[in-house]
Formats: sequence, C-alpha cells, structure tokens
Amino acid sequence: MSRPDRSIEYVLDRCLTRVERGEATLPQILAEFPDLADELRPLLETALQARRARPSLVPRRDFLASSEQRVFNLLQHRRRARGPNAAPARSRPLGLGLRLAPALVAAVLVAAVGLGGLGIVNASAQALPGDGLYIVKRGLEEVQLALTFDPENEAEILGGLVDERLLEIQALSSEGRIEDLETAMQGYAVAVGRLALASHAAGAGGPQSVLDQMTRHITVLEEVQARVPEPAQEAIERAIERSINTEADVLPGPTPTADQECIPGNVNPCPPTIGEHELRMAEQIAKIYGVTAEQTLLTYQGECQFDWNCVRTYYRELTKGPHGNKDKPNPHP
Amino acid sequence: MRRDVQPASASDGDLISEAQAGNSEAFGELYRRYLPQIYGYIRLRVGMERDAEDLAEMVFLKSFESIHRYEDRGVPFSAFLYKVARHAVVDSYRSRQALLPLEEAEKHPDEAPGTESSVIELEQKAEALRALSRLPERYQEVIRLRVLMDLPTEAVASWLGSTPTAVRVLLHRALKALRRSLETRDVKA
Repeated sequence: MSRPDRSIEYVLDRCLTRVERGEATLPQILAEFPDLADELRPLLETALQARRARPSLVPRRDFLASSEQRVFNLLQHRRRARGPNAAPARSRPLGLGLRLAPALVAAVLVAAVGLGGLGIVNASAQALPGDGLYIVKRGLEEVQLALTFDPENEAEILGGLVDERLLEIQALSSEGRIEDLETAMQGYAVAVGRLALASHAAGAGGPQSVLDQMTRHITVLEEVQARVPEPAQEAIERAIERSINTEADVLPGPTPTADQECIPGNVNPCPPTIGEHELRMAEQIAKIYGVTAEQTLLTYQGECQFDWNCVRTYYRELTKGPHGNKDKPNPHP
Repeated sequence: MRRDVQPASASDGDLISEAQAGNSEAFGELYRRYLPQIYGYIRLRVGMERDAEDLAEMVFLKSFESIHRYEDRGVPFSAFLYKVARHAVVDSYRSRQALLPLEEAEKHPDEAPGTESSVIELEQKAEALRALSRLPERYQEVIRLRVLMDLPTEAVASWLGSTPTAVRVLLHRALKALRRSLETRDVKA
C-alpha cells in the first residue's frame, strides 16, 4: 500500500479541493496538517482572497436563452456562404428545428396573424420595444432572415435591421420612454454583431458599407445621447463603443506587432503599429468629426495610446466646443 | 449507419462524431455542456460582461466551424475549446484596444458602493486582481483555472497540456508569487 503524498504541493491541492467543496473550514484544515500549517495558511488565505475577487462566472439567463440560436444561425449562414466546399452537413439538420424554434413559432404566428388580418402585421411595423406587437415585428424579421439563403441578401437585410433598431432608439428617446431604451440598446448591439459577421460572408463591398453605416450611426447615437438622462447615456455609450468596435472588426486585421509573445495584462502589452487597418479607422473617425485622418492618427498614437474609443471621445469633446457647436478642431496644428 | 444518440447522456466522443456529420442536436448539446465553463474562463480575462458574451459565442462558432479537424487523441473537447478561447482573448486584445482587462474594470464597478466597508471590500478585490495581473502569464493561468474556476487539477492539466503533478507544483509557486505580489503592494501602500 503506497503512503499518501505529504508534499506541500499535494497537500495544498487537496486542501483547496476540500475548501471548494465546503468540506472543511480553513482552521479545520490547518489543524489536520500541523507540521505544514505555517506554510499552508498564507497560501490558502491568498487563494481564498483571490477567489473572493472574481466576478460572477455564471452567464446571464438572457444570454443563455438567446446565444445558442444566434451561434447556430451564424454557423448555418457561414456554411451557406462557403458553398459546396463547406464541411459536410445534412440538408436539413435535425436540430435546426429546435434551434430555429422561435423562427418557426414566428412563422406560425405570421400565418395566424394572416388569418386575423393584415392590419396587425402592418401595425407591428411601427412597434417599439415595450409595445405588445413588438414581438410580432421581431418574429417577422427572423422569418425573413430564415428564408434568405443568399449571403449578400442576408447582409442587406441585416443592414436594414440595424437601421431599424437605430430608428427605434431615436423614437424611444423622443417619446421619453427611457425604461425601454436598455432593451432597444441590447437589440441594437445584437443586430450590429450579426451584421458585422454577415458582411464578411457577403464578400466585396460588405465591410465598406458596414463601415459607412456605423460611421453614420455613431453620429446619430451621439445626438440621441445628448438628449437622454444620465443613466440612459451610459447604455448609449456602450452602443457607440459597439459601433466603433464593429468598424475595427470589419476592417482587415490590425497590423501585427513584432512582439509575438506579448500578453494582455503585461506591463508592456502589444503596442500596435500603423498600417492599412489603422489608417482606415482614422479615416472613419475623421469623417464623423470633420477632422483629418492624420489628426485622428496622431491622437490614436499619442494621447489615446492606441484606443479608438478614446479617440472618438477626444474628438467628440473637442467638437462640442464651449457652446456645444461642431466647429472644426485643430488639435495638432 | 448512424447510431441514435441521446444528446444529454451521450459522451463527448459520440457528440463530436455526430457534430462532424452535421447533426445540429449534437452541436447544441456540446454548446450547452461547455458554454458555462468557456464563458467563465473568458469572463475572468475581460472586464465587461458583454465582451465576454461576444467572445464566448465567437469561440463556439470558430470551434464548430473547425470541428471536422478535431481528433480525440486523449485531449478532451473542453481542452480544445479552451485553446480556442485563450487565442480569442489574446487576439481580441491585439485587435480591439477597447477591450478592458478584468483588473481594470474592477476599478470602476457597475454598482456604487453604499458603505465604507463595501468601499474597502471593493478596493481589496480590485487589488487582488491587479496583483494577479502582475504575475507571469503561466502563474496567472493556473490560478484562474484551478482557484478561480474551481476546475479539478486533472482538468487543469489537460487544458494546459501538462500533468497533474506539474500543475500542483505550478500552483504552489503561483500562489506564493501572488502572496508576495499582494504583500509588496501592501508595503508600498
């Protein structure tokens, strides 16, 4: 019979497991290993301190409910976009029925609505988040997407849906329905993410049109942001950040750095070099604020330390001016 | 002929074979089985919940797209997903400067603290995460997996491509280093 391992590494590991399982408290464990207690105590205390600092690792319920369908729709979409060389798949995957259940439900809903009259369908087109008919509107959109098999058409539809989400945000803020704005923002973020992915699949022309669309949206969202109360401003700020990130995502990958081993969190993390990606991002932000791409690039490398959201905030503040006007700034004469 | 697979009780191997043949039920079961773990890992690497959600979806999308290349050579599917997740996080930091590291996000928690003790508690949490971020990457990673995610040592070993003994040794060193990192900060403060 082999003797139990009494090395500090083994005992520490065992003690951690017991604490994780709630089988023993720290003093109880230390009492079991009196000869190692002095060494074990600070290590276990450190482990517990680190564990207390972690954020919740449980995914949000909303995310769990919606993400699976989103991933499968994108997977199907990309496979269709790749054409006949795609990985083998059944013509009608069995699980699609389950994963697309909401879309099918919506299709049934459409049929039911059709029986009840087209008035409901028409009325739903004007529905906003929080309205009773909004679910009908979104269901119809999903049906339209599910029945679209051409990647370019799909990207076009998604582009229209992103515009629609933006219009909803504008309408809600005009009506002062701040409580529904968060839902609208979530819908906007999801739509933008889907559009970015679809634009890649759509090929030539896709990414550029998304870039232009996002640039236009940032301007509109900033206008909306100026009109709503403070708590809602934060949600809109996140949507703007999402738009900026989408611009960065749809462009060709950032210029690689020489240091292949740089890791986030290090003291010296991956300073990017300037290439096509950065130049085009600079052009897009310059368009929004009426400055030159060279100016935005200088800000990106200087004050903003390679953060595009910082560049946007910088020029937004600058273009507001003392009276909120949009005089052209000259930050780098 | 294809076997009938009951997704919830099927082994990973069976589900992967089915997924490789294009069975979406199998994809779905793998997704539900591993999303919490992979999301949890990513959440420990990025400051914003939304970024973690986006990245988790991207990881599964990429993994499922390349699942036909996956071969079970004694490496569990979760380890395959972990590698994709780890690369996705690093790639995101390279390409999206707006991605906030966890230790930075904890400086500005979403909820405003109500009492002095909660302020102190928040600061202690933020300091623990900052101390962790100052460690060598290998130390950070073993603490994330073994301590923060509560993964069993054997699982950590398979994810890191190591052995349980090596993981125990690494964890011991990593916790000592974290302790020093916290103490150094305390002395400076």
